[in-house]
Amino acid sequence: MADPVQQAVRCEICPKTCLIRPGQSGECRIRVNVDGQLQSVTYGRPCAIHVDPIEKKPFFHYLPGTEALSLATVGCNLHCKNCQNWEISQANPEDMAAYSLSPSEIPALARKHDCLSVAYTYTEPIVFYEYTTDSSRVCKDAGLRNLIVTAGYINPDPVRKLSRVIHAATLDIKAMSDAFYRDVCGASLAPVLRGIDIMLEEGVFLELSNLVIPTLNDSDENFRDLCRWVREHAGAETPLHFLRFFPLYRMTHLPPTPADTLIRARDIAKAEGLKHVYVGNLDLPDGENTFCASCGHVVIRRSRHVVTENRLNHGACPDCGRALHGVWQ
Amino acid sequence: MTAMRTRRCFLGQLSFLCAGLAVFGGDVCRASNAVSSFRDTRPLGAPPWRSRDAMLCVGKWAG
Repeated sequence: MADPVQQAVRCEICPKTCLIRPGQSGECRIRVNVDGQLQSVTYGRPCAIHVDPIEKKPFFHYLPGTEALSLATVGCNLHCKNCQNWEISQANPEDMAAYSLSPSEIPALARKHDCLSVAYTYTEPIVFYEYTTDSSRVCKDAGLRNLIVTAGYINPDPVRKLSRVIHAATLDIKAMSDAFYRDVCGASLAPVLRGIDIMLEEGVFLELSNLVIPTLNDSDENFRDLCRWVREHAGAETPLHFLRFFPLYRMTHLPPTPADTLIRARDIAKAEGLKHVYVGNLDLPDGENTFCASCGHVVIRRSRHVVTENRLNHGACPDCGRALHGVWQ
Repeated sequence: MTAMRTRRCFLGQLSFLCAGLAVFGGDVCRASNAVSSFRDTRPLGAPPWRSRDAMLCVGKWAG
């Protein structure tokens, strides 16, 4: 009889490095030890295929006004108590309905729906890593852009390889606190920051977000630490989105983030020198607009993920001519 | 008298509920279409059911 310890495999995608015994899965629920071999059981089996405005990812400086074919399989290596997509991120693969969609079928589907990009999103593209990378290669060859929406909790080697097939990432820094990552998400901060550095080294276009949860990560200190880190590592022109929290999943005892808190976060970010700071999930005048970093005029106007006016002139401000940080075509 | 009081109480509760919906309704609607949410976009039909066995058959070796 085979020794289950001998047949255990270690998954090395994320810093949890789960030791998985035969028949069991890692913490993400979808990386399974089948007879001593590690298998990604949701490969080619997305549970969500949607067409979204790219602004919903959120990407505000990458192909604005276009749509992204958005894919997700079940599973996540984090267990955030506030997860808004918990029905799929915290589900077992055998409990969820799924489509059958091989990587080679994705480009045609994207073109059919007039999408210029494919986004691996909603749950965590890191845990369905092989599907993300294989699909990205096929889509890149077909002239499509690959986007990931991620928490960035990944080991250095996998993130470096992934960075070579994707074009852009929007990455959610949950808080600048290891205690927050541990208590709310079941993870840690350092690997996320290290992953961002690697993505930047590899030339991935990056936007960052921070979901602001009342009482947990809404202090001035958290905002200031975050903004300083972004400025020093990613640059002052990197877009940063402060997002409003809604009471969901295991965090229904907290209220939605007050508008004043998000405005305070934005003010701190601007005081720290960040040029493109946004407020999401809240109808705030100018909250989603892009301003020229030089003259301060509105260049792109948005309302609820929709571009209502785009004044960009060949990637530059039409009033002062300053080039705007981003990928515009 | 009791019936009238009951009716008044019911109407009072109803108006309280309506006021509550007016205040929080926006939040609820907004939450369903929040950034990165998989709700309220254009899903491409309902996914067919696939059992785990079926997934294992077509899955890819990751190790």
